Parts: sequence; structure tokens; C-alpha cells
Amino acid sequence: MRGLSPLFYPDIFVKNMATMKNKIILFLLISYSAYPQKANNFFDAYIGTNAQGYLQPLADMTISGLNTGIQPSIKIGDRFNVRLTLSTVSMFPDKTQKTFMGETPDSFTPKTTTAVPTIIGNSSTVKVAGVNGTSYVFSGGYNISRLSWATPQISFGGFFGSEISLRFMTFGNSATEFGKFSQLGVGVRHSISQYFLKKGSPYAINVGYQFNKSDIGKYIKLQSNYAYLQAGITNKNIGAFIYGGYQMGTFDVSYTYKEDNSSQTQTVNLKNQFPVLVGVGTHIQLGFFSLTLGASGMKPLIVFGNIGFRFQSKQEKKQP
Amino acid sequence: MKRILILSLICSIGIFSCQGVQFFRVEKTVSSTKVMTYIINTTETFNSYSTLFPKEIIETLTNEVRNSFGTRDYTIKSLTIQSLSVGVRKNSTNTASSAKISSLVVNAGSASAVPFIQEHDADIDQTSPYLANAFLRAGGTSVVNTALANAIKQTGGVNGLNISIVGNPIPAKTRISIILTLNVKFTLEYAYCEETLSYVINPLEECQL
Repeated sequence: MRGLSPLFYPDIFVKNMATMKNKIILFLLISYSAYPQKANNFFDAYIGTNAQGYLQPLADMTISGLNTGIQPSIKIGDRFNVRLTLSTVSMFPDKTQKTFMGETPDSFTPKTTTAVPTIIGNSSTVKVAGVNGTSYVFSGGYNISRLSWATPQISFGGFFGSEISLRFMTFGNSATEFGKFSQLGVGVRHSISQYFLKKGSPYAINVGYQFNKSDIGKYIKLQSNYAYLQAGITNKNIGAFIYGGYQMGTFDVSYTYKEDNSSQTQTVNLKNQFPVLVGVGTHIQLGFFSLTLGASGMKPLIVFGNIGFRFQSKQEKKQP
Repeated sequence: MKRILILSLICSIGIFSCQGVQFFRVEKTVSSTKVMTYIINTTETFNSYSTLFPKEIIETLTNEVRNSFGTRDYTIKSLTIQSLSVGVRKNSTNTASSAKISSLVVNAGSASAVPFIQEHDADIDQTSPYLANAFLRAGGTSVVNTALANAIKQTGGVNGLNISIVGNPIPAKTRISIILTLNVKFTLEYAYCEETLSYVINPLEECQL
């Protein structure tokens, strides 16, 4: 029953290296769908209440991740501009997200509640001793230290002190086992500082809203709304900002659970547990090239980096 | 400014620094219930047995595992009894109101019988199985768990375990005509290495079985 994993076979390792290029491309496209046959295994540890606790950190990380890195700069500008951005985020789970209070089933005696790994928690199982030599075993997690992805974004700004951002991706085939991946993100930002600060002021205050909707194959359907306030300081080339807001999201996971040689479809409906999302960022603009780096959180801690290209209309020449 | 820009670019790339293929260590469980059936039809003391084959239990549970992730290799960590319930279905010829039952387990390779379920009154007017964890005897559970462990290590378990149901009808001399089932739920604990999606999901440590 015991054997070596493919990692230890040199020929497979070479093959793995050859597939590296493809994986980088997939990464750029948010490549959950690269592992369709394994997707179900990722979620199917539990049913019922335990499934909620087990999967909850995934909902919190994903929803917060989608609402991070959505502001490519602090200044919206007063000239019409189009900005193409590759937004990358890496989420580092908090220690408290690694466990949940798991309950033994009604058929187990005595009924026991204990701290057990979530999907991102320790990989070791947790065994609970029952009466008269019986035992119940809770599944382990995947011991995840970091979850990352990248999303392309296009923003149109500089009209009435406003900016609209769009994220849209779709690939895969709904007829396959994994299904189709699709992501839609719509964001708006509006400068409120234009109403009370002088034109040319280095300070800026914006309000914003982000809507996200995503289907990750047949397994995850999520939707989120995030309203925020952003404030910062900037000159022509460099800026820094802080932001904070309130997010609400749903995260529904569907998978097949197997027991006693029968399968049942399980759907776990989750909501994000951490509605407050705050962050800091810095932004560099050199010609048409821009770079944004920052962090948000607190649970999970998220770092983000945006690489972008901005094209804007010419400045009107002032008459002497 | 250019220096800052280059430094920032390096930092952002560093977030997704290059690394080889990584594997998660995954430890999971799968459960399955073995139903052992006893047909009892007598007015006297009864003693009926059914055989439990550890290899069959392992085969059933590992089929579930294989169905989950194809032919990928895995290691079994443990296989133990999780719970027990007893079901009784009354036949039309039954006149007994209940039955006093107990159970013994005998490893076919051993001569001695070990108590598996302690004596108790089994209500035969039930519609669903009753939980019997409290009636289990630790010694009997240990015999079954040990046989399963030996079968995993392939140091035994070829022989079956005879699990008997012993008892008598209440009131005495009335006809007890029932189909009794012992529903023994087993949990298999196993570990395997799962390839991660590099650059997207990062495990904390390298997987080794």
C-alpha cells in the first residue's frame, strides 16, 4: 500500500520542468482549472456543519483577495486615460484561520467538539478517542502558506473625477468535468476631494465600489460587493495611499461527497467572516508605465502588486 | 527614480518567485459501514454468527480512495471502528416482545472468544437501528482493530473474524423471528501527496509519504 510519490522519479521531474512554462501561462490566467480531476478532492473532506468550518477560510481569502489591488493609483486625474493593469495578489492566512471547531457525528459516542484543521490548516489528521475502543478521525488540511493569483484589469478614468474599472475573463468548457471559469469585476471610483481641495493639490480622497462575480468551474460560485474610502498623497510620479471599506460576499462550494459506496452532492453556502478590509499602497508612474505595491488585511494578510500601462489624452494648451 | 522602479519590479516578481513542482501532504479519512446480517427464528436460546473479512473491509474503503484520486499512491495510517448500531426487523411470525442479546468475536486463527457486545435488551419494535456504542466491549473492539491493522501490514487478516450474536427471547419460550443487523462503521485514515498548482497555492512543507 506504500510507495513513492512521482516527485521522486527523475524522469517525471524532467517532465514536470517541461510543463513549467505552461503553468506560468496558466498562472497568469488564474489557473484553478488546470486540475479539474482533482478539484473535487480539494473540498470533499466533510459534509454538514464541519464542511462550513473547513471551507470558511477559502471564502475569506478569495473574497478579500478579489477586493484587493483594485485601485491602481491614488489620483484619478482630470484627463481622460485608459490604464491596462495586471493585478497580482498573494494571501497569507492568519493563524486563527488554520483551525475550526469540528464536531463528531451523532453516531459517535461521546459527542466531541475539538479544534481541527481547516482546508488551509495543518495536513495532519486529528483522532478523537470514543467509548470502548472506538475512534473518530478528522481530515487534515492542505497546509497552505500562500494563495496567489493575477487578474488583468482595464480602467477608464479622468472624466468628472471618476474612473471605471473592468475585469473580465472566461475560459474552459462547461461540458467538461471541471466546467467553465469566468470572472467579472466592475469597479467605480470618484474623487470627492475635487469638491473641496484646490486643483493641483497633492492630496486626494476617493470613494469607490467594487463588484465581483466568479464561477470557478462547477465547484465555486462567488459574488462580492465592496464599498471603500481611499485617501492619499501624490505628485506627478509617486504617491501613497490608505483605504478602508466594508465588504460582503457569498461563496458557494459544490462537490460530491462519498460514503458507504454512495455519492451525494453537497453545497456549502458561505459568507465572508471579515467584512472590514483596510490597506496601504504606494504607486509609481513613469511615463506610461505604472507600478503599485501594497498590503491589505487583516485576516488574511494580503500583499498586492500591479503592473500597468496608462495612456491618456493630451493636455490642453493654455492660451497666453 | 529608475532605481526605485527597478527595485519595485524585482520585488513584485519576487512575490511569485520561481520554484519547482511542489506537493501537498494530504491526510484524509473515508468511512464505510459493514452490515452483518443474522436471521433468527427460534423459541430457544440462539447463537448465530457472521464472518467479517478484514481484507474485504480494506478493499471496500480503498476503492473509495482510488475513486477519489485515480491510481495515485497512498499510505494507510489506520483503520478502526468508529461506531456501531443495531437494526432489528421483525417478521410476522414473531411473538417475542424483545430479546436479550450479546456478541462474541473469534479470530479464526485463535481459539478464544472475546466479548464484542455486552448483554442488553434489544427492542424488536424499532423502526430504525439503535446506537450501540455504549454496549461495545473494548476487548472485542481491540480484536477487530488489531486484525484490521495486521491486514494493512499484510501480517495477518487472511482469516475472517466470526462475530456471533447470542441471546434468548423475552418472554421465554416465545418465538423470536427477526432479521438482526450489526452495522459496524469503519474509518480509514490515509495519506498521499497531491501536486499543487505552483505559483497559485503554496504548501508550507514538502510532501513525503
